[in-house]
Amino acid sequence: MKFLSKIIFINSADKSLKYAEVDLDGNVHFIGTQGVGKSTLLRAILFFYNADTQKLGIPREKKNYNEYYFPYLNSYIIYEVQTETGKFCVISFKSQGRAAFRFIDSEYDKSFFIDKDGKAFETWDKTREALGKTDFTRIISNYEEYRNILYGNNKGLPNEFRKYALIESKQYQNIPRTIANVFLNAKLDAEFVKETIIKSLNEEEVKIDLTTYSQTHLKDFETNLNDIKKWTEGNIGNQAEKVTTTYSALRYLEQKKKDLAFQLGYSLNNVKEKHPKVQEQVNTEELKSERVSEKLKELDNVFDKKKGEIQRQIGVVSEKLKEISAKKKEYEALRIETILKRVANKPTLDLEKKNLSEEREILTSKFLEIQKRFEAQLNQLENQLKEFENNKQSEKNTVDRNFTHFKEELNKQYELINDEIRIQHEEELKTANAKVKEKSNAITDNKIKLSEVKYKRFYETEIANCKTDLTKMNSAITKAENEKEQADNKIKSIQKEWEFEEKNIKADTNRKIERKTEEQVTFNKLIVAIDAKIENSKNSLYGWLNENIPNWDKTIGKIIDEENVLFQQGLNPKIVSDSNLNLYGISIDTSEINKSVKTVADLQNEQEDFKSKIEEIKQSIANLNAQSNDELEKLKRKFQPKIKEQKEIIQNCEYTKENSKTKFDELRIRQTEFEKKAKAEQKAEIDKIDEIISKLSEEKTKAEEEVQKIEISITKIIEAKKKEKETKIKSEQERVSIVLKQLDEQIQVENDNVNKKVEAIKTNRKKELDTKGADTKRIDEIDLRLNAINSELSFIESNRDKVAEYNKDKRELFDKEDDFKNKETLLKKQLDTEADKHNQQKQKYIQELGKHKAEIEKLNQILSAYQNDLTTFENFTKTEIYQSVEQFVYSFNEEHSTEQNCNQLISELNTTDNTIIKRYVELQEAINKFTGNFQENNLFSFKVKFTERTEYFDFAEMLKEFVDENKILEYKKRVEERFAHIIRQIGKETQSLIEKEGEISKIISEINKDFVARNFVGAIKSMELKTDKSANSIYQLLVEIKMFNDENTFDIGTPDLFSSNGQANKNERAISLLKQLIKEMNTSKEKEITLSDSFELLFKIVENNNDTGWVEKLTNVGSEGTDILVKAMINIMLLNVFKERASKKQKDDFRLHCMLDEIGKLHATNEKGILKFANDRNILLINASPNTYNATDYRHTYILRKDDKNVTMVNRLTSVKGNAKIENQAKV
Amino acid sequence: MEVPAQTSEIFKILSKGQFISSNSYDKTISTLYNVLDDEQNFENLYEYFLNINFILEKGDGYFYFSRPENKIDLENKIDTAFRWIDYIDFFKTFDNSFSAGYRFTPSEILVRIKTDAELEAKLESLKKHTGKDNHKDILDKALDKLISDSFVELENPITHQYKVLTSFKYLEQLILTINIPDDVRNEIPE
Repeated sequence: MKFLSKIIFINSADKSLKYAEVDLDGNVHFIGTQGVGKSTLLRAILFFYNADTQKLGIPREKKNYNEYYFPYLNSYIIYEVQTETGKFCVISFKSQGRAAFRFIDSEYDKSFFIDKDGKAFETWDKTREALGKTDFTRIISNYEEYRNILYGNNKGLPNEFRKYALIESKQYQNIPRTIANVFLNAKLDAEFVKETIIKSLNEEEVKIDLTTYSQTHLKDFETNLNDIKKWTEGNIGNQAEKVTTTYSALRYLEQKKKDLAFQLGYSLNNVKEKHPKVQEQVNTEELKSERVSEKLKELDNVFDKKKGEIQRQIGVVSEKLKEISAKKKEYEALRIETILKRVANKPTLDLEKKNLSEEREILTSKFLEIQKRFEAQLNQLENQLKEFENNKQSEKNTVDRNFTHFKEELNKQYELINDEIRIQHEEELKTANAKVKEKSNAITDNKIKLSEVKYKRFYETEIANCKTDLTKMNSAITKAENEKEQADNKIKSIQKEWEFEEKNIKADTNRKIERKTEEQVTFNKLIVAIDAKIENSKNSLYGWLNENIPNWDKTIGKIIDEENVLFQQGLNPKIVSDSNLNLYGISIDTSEINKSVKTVADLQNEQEDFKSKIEEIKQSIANLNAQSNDELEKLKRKFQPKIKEQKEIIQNCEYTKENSKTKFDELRIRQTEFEKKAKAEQKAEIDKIDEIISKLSEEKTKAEEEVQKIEISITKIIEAKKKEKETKIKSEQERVSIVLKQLDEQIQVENDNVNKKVEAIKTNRKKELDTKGADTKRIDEIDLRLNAINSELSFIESNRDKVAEYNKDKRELFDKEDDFKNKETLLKKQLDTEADKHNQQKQKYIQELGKHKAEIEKLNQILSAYQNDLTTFENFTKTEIYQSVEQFVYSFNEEHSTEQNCNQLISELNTTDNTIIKRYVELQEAINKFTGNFQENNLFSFKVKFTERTEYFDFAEMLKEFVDENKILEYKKRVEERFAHIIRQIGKETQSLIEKEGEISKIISEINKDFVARNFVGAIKSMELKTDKSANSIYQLLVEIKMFNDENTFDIGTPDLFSSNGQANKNERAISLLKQLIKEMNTSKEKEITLSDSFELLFKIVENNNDTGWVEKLTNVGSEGTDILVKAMINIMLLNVFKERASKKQKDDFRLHCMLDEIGKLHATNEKGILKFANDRNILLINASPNTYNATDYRHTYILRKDDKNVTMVNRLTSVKGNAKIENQAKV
Repeated sequence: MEVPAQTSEIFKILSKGQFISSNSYDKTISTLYNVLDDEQNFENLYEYFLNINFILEKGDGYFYFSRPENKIDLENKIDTAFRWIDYIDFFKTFDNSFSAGYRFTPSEILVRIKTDAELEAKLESLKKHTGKDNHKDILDKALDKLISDSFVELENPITHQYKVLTSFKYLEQLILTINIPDDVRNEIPE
């Protein structure tokens, strides 16, 4: 029995208590007038129990405990504690301004503190000396530590302190509080009562640590939930897809850019290589073209010469023909036929003349003289005439000459005039001719152009490019499709393989598990069988043998059938008194039989063995399952990347395909457009040239007409002049002919005169001759005839030249007229043929030239394209993009061959780069938008802040993987498992709280019963406690969660917590419960849910007719006395509850003290009652009041008095130990 | 007409000219966004606010109020718009991807200013809106403005990390709708 047995004051209580020793080994009563220090004493005792200077009921305005109780350094309050084995002391004193403790392992001895002179030691050193070898502890200034030592909360305490424990409890805190409450008559708080009861229940405090939930388990519950919800409900998937697609596009573009750079390198190289070749080709073509145009010129020249020659010949012939017709006319006018006839008669006439002249000679020869005379006369006349004629003839000649001269002059004059006219019109004609020439040249040129155009292929390169691109795109599409198909097939085969292996593993595992299960079943059967055996053993032969026959297993056991006999019931075995050990009259040596009978223990062992084997099997099944899961996981890890790879290929292919298709369509349209354009342009150009040609032809015709007009006008003028000339000549001729006529007439006249005279002469001659006899008649006839012949001959003579001329003309011209005509026709034909031939040749050359020109143009185009390429590239090298792709440009190979030129490639590069930039910005935006949905510490550990390009890319890559591998499911699963686990955990923890509730109810009902049984206060009709449902919202929630968990133990967690199937409602409920819990935890700020939160404790006290009803706090019950009483009772009850529980656990019993001040307020009966009430529960009461009425009820009664020096003296008045005894306290 | 329980909260925010953005760190805001995002709620609230001459507008991930304007207000509005344009110009110069969901710290911007003259010039030009001289002050002031108009929020007060809200798209949209005719374009000095 441990208890506080004594308290000693040295120099305490504000110097007024020099020394006092008070025994506390029973109920103690302090009496004395007001202010002598009763309460001081009580407080000092209380301090022993609670070691809390604040909770001693010292008013604030008074000196505090330290100052009041320990005014000197050598002020001490010593508490002596009685234990079963002896006593120890607790010394309290002031150290560093506050009360501190030491424990001394010895009973109290005055000499430890007080010297022989009755004076307290000045310092501790002396006490230490005085203590000698007695064990004492260091100063304990921490009250908590003190209480831990005193109440035996040994955890963390050095061993040396253990022996100073009053009790051994970890949950002692309510003891000092209860004691203080009794002393201070504090209001009764259900909470406190609850605490006390709960702490009495168990040393270990049952509680749910909310901080673990709010800080760890459920910390990110909502964010996590929201994060997952964003995936399952929101459009975050789209955003993620946007990120991945943009990233794919970007990656594709980057690749494309690289390819383009390679291609650019190839193309550039190509250009550099081909450029000089093409240049050479151009040169050759130009040379060829020049040659052709020279040939053309030559041809023209040759033709022109030929044409000139032929035309000249035609001119000659036509001239001749003209001459012929002119001469014909002339001769016709001259009646050339008659002349010819007459001239033809000349020989005849000559002969006739000769004949006649001879005849006349003959006839006249006789009359010669006459003849001669007359002849002379005639001659004379003739001479006269001749002379005259000569004169006139000369005159005529002069006239003629003059005329000729005039004519000549005129001709000259007109020639000059004509020349002038010609000169005048020459320029005009020249211009006109030049125009014609120009036009015809222009026509030729245009014809060249036309053939050029005809041979030129418009948009050839573009169309060709389109075609190659189309083929490329087509092949790209096919390739992509093939690849995709391949990838699909691969995925399928991988999946098949996967499934196959999975199936294998599963089947294998199942097989193994089946085998194990079979084994397990067998073992189970065996166990059951053994159970049955054991169960039966009591009533069977086996049991009987065990009970009645010693060593039966060595004898009968060896020969008995185990199944049918040994464990068979109802065999009613009996010991037959025959002591012979025989078996139905047979004796065998059983030691030879090698058989052992299993005892019950054996069986049990066997059963244990089986059980452990079953456990082993279970374990191995679990192992198998885990192993299979591991293997499945391995398979997943093995196959998933492969599938992912293929999927990526598919994605890429699809992208390429889509891209290519769009491009293909685009190209097709472009190609058609180009073709249409080419046709249209060619047609337009041809039309244009045709139009130009026709226009030029028209113009040429016009120019020719102009030339003709000019020529005609020249001819006209010349013609006019000619006519004028001719008129002039005519008039002159007329004048001349008149003159000549006159002259002729004069000649005629003269002739006539002469003739008359001749006639006269002739007549005279005739006469004379006649007279002389001459045949004059005949002579006359002859003469006449001769005359006629002579005139005819003179005519012939005059016309002889003409005839000769005619004959010449005839020979030369008239006979050849047809020839000339033929020749003209021939020549004209020849001219035509030549012209045709020339045209043909010319056309050929023109075509050739056109071809060459077209070729040159084409080559020039290529050249300029090359040049353009080079310039573009040169410019490109100055851009930033070039720097990023330079390395690729110079590391191309044959793979990168392309039909596209540098220009296109560069522009495509630029476009691609722009698109990359655009896509990159898009990617950034998409990623930012995506991550904007998440907080920094999101469930998926998504990075939310990016600065570098690579960070964006890495994120996109990661996200792609995340989406592809559907990691959200894993996260979901994880979160689900975690929260299912939390729910289970809550369920479990709440369960343990609830379990405790039952115990508490039991205690409370005990208390209630106790009240009823031991109520000694008449006024108190009833005093009751009860538990009520907890008002703590968190606890309520926890209970709800627990109930939910109980209802759905197997439903939550494993299936999809966020799925929307039939499970949804339950899951939602779980989530909403957790959410509420989080909310409540945040608002309540409670750190933990203890048992006391799990129920409410209510009081109900009926005092006379005052019913308090069920209340949580009890401040005043009836009058003051009743109030004190009731509270004291409840507190003592509580102390008792605690004490009982505590003492159950430890061997040593212990006692506690309760202090009641001003006990005089109670009626003596009640005072007695409460003393009994307390003492029944092994609790001692220390009361104080001015007077004592029943000193016998107390073990000790002390009276406190002050002397004249205001020094308090404590004197024992009575001490009941059989008989009352008064001891005077030694005065210090 | 059933209006949601959060109507008064929604009104309190939107009537201040602020936005309710979907990616706000503030749980109440994101809750309000979810309320508004419900089609039925939106329709009801639209009708409800229309009665008091507020037009509830829905953007791409944000909600706001608009009101019929008269001329004088419009001019003020244009002044405000100028300021926003300058702000956006500045932040977009800092990072082209400065848009909804973007995260940044003022110190990053200040560090960049030391190496980026253009950015510095643009920040200097914000003086006229902020009335501050010191770079940091200008930036802080601008950010305060962005925060008070709920385009940006302080996500992490320890690291001073800000997050751009979806409402920022409103500003981007504002700029995109500015139509500069070609003849006027030529008159704008580069």
